[in-house]
Amino acid sequence: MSQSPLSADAPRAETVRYQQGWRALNRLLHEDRSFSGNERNCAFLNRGGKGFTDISAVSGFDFPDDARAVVATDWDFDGDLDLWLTCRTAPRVRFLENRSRIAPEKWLAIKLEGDGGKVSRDALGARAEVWLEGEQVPLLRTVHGGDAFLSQGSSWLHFGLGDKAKVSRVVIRWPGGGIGEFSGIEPGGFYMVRFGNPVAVRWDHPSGQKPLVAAAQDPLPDEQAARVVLPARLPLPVLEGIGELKGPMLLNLWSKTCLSCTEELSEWSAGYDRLRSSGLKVFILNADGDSEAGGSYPFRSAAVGPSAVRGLDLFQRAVLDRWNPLPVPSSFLIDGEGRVALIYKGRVGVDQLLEDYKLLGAEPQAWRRAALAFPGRFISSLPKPQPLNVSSQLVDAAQPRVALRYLEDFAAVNPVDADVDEVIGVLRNELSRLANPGRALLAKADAIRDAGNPGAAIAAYRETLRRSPKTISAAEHLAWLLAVHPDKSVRRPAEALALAKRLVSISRNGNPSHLDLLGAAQAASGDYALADKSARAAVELLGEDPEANKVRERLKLYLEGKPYLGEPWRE
Amino acid sequence: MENAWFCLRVLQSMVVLCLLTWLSPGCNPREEHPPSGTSSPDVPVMEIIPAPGLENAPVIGPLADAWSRIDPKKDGWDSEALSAAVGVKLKKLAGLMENPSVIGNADIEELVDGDFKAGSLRALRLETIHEDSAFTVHRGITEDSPSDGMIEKVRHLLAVFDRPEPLHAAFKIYRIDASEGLANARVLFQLSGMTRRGGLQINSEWDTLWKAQSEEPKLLGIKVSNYTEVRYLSDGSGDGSETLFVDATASILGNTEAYKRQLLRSTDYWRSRVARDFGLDVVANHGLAIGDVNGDGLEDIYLCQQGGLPNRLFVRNTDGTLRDMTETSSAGWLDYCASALILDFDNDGDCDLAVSQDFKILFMDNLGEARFELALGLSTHAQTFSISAADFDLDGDLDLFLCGYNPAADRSESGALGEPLPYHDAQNGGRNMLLRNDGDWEFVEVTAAVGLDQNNNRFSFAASWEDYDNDGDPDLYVSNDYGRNNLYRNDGGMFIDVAAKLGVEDMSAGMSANWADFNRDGALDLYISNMFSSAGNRITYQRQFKPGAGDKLIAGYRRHARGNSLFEGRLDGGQFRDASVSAGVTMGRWAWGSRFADINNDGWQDLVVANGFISAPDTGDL
Repeated sequence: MSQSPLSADAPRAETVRYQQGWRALNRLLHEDRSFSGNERNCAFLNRGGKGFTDISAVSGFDFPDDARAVVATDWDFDGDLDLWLTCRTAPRVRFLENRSRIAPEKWLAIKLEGDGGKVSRDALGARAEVWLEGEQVPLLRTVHGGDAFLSQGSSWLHFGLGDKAKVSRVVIRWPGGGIGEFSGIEPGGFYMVRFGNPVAVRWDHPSGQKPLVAAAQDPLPDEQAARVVLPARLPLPVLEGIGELKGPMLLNLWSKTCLSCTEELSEWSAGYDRLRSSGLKVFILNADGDSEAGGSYPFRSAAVGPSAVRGLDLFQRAVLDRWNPLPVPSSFLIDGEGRVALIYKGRVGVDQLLEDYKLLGAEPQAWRRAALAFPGRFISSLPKPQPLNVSSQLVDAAQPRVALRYLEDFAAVNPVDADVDEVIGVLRNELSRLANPGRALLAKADAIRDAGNPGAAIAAYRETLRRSPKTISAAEHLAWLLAVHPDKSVRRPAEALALAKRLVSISRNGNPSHLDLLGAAQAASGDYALADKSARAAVELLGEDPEANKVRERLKLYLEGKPYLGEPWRE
Repeated sequence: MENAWFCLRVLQSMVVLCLLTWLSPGCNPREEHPPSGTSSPDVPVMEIIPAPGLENAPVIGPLADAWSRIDPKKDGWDSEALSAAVGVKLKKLAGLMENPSVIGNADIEELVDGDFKAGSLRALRLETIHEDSAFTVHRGITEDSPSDGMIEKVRHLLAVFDRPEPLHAAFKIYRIDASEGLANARVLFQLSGMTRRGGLQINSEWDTLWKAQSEEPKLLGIKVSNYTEVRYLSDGSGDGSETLFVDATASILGNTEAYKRQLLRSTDYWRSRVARDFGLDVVANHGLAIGDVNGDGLEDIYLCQQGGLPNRLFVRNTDGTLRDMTETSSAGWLDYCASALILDFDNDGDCDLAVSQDFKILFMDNLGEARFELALGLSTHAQTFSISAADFDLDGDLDLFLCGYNPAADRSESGALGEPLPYHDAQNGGRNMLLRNDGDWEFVEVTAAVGLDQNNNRFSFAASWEDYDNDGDPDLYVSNDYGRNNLYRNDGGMFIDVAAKLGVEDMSAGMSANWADFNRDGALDLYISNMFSSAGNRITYQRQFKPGAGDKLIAGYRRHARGNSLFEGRLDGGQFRDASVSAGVTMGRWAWGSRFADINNDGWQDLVVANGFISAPDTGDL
């Protein structure tokens, strides 16, 4: 089905199906589906130019992380390459120390520096050649400033030299054509080479390196409980059985089956006076549908069914990138304008509630800072509310009407947003199409007919009637086509007659256009007497209507014993 | 793992090649939320539980069509159903091997047919094909007359691991053929663990034959080939040096709060509490840069992070540990950032910062002491991933190339994956940019002017500069997701895409590019990350796959599933040779960053490949 179109100008329907496939996949990724997950990192040993061997496990590199970037550097100055990696999973970073027991004569490290005039300070593009005694080809390294994936590695060029190697000379090819040659470089050292300087200078690393200890990292576990601050506040969708939510208020969802819920409500009850004097109203919704359950707490309470729970669930999904089911207890802090400012998944204490409630009126920048776990700075401007994230969740959950209402309500109180308006238009069209599927099919069939393809049009009208039998216009258009099309091979008088009789009977002889159609079908079948009678009845019903003249023209033909042929839909 | 195949019907063919390594045990949305903790309404539970009613989430409305193809039971691929059944058996076998002390005879017998016959699973003779101070590699001779007794064969294979630590065993089915109740599955097999002489890893391929008349296939035979054993020679000191690499992250970062509070939390943890408005996604492509930001000659680290979390600047202490200097650096950007470079862009002797921030590029001038000031911010044409600097015009200052991926500013529209069209050769990706450094923090876009708008419509992930043709100026390789890569040859500051001509388009899902002379012939070679898909390998060899498609097209599909690529360059800058398969470096799984590094100092560049797309707790794949 949704296979990729083979070219970018493929028919739109094909493309839409394909895109729908991508959306479905994206959705799964948001819902904690593993996808090529727990894959172990790979390492391959170069067997002296005779191919590679997988050493992922014995090298110790095979962590099952979702790893991303990897760079190499001799971090501990012991002459071998260590690695830094970033990961999607926790821990987000790994430092892997290379523990090879190497002899001092097996390596060499060179750092190149430009003059900032002819050659950039970082000497990017400069190439170092290490010529080993007895070898015809040098070892090569180039200075790179960012390569592989999302990474910049060490600016030290590290050379493994192998056993018993002696360096005969080092040649530096600077970008732009300069060449420098250096001798007397001993393996087992770090050397700095500056552009224009004839001597390679040995560099000594600081002493007193802290011993590196091999130890498994201890990533912190995932947690369901979360305090989510919305930098751009949005209203909730309409919740079934709950009226308009006038803030500021705290909306709480709870269940009798969850001890955290009842304990939380007990704690809030104990802090009732503090909550009350702050002005924060509390409205608790019982998710078990039990309208009596909240009675023992000093708060406004109501019972809700799965539909309202789902509404709250979809809303929190719209706010976050990770789409997990809404837990109980959960609470929504709603501001004075009826917009959700904060979502608590899991329990929240009275102190935190009152603190957050006070923050509701903070300046937008301060409010954004409150949403973050760590300080820092932004280059982006303040985020705008994204009602389409909510409507998209609702649509995907087969609630297009709720989605439309949500966007209409949003548009009514917010500045014009072309994207929102566009989606409102699409939803309205789709909903009206859903309400009357025949209409769209009919329009398609008419278009085919008007394009001069009567055979395909007939098939399209039949399909319309099969899928939406009450589409009267489809029967009318089909019958006319079958009765009077100038091409004999298109005409099917018997079928046209049957359709026309059925239409006349539906309209109980009261619709002149049906009677006119019946006349045309009768004439096509060669029964001019009956055609004459039907056409006269149509003329009579039409009275002063100018359509009557067209019927009279046909009537004349019937009197002459001729059928009417033409394409009246084109007139 | 191999439930991947059910995605086939979502995006049958091309897309599947990227997606069929799907590992979750079932995508049926009706089953998505097990009603954990709600078993008895009378006994309240303490944990946070899904709200009542959410256990049976309705089928997704407009996506229902796509969903309906995600059900493996309705999938018409019998070979894939068979592969899944065989995969279950192999996984069970792997599980038994990992705990040799508790293997019962009945456990193994349950897997094999009464007529089972096979040769030895461990090579009977070994031949040394490589030896250095760290590793020895033996090729195994496995020719052996078949006999029965799977239990003895497994015990013989495991006996070499003569220490009590647990083993790791994994199978990957990469080809399956079935006829008349028999199935032939070709399988990559890896087994690793400790011996008294050090770590041992056995790599081999098993040609397995199964009696497959029911949903419970039974093993009839195994033929072992391509057998190698690799040993890492431990010094036996027991100091944790039993592998070449050991994790020592905590020694370096363990004292910083940022490490403990931010970096020990997964992307998913933050995605479930930081509002998406800040710019987070599930893929989490965030990299790092190493460079000296305070001029003490020691390298520091800048880490990029998703939106809502600050990038981190860690400065090295003389003892090798890191201290967090984010707050005083002014470089703690909270926006979504993919990558960064630590380089001296203004040639004033200290290293500055370039940060790729989604649809912006930020240049920060180093004020000294690891403090930075925003010198220039520019909008980009696309969501930017890797950035790579070079002095392309040889005027002595650094210019910057930016890889454009998603052209749409709104990731929520197209999702983290983009919407490539057509999948196998997408031409609707974002535009890359080349910024020429004109000094004084002026950067001018010269992409079109220098010829880099040629084929500049792809989903670019990575770029790597190198003078592959040895004419003195840096050329540029660009690795693109969903299709063909570019090799822009630099002819005196003007570029021409010669990827097709030189045979390095590597039409696949490119993620990374790295140059090195791996074969020591003096010419630069190229390693590119792609995706290895065992399901893709299986499906594309089925007769049922794309009936009527030409050989060339099918070869292209197979290529998409092949994995990483290694191209041998020539000194004269001529046609590259594809050495990927002969060198044995394709199976890098779902690969991201990969690079050459001589990790054992023997003078030959080895390869490390970072991989894995999205792990979720719901699977135990592999």
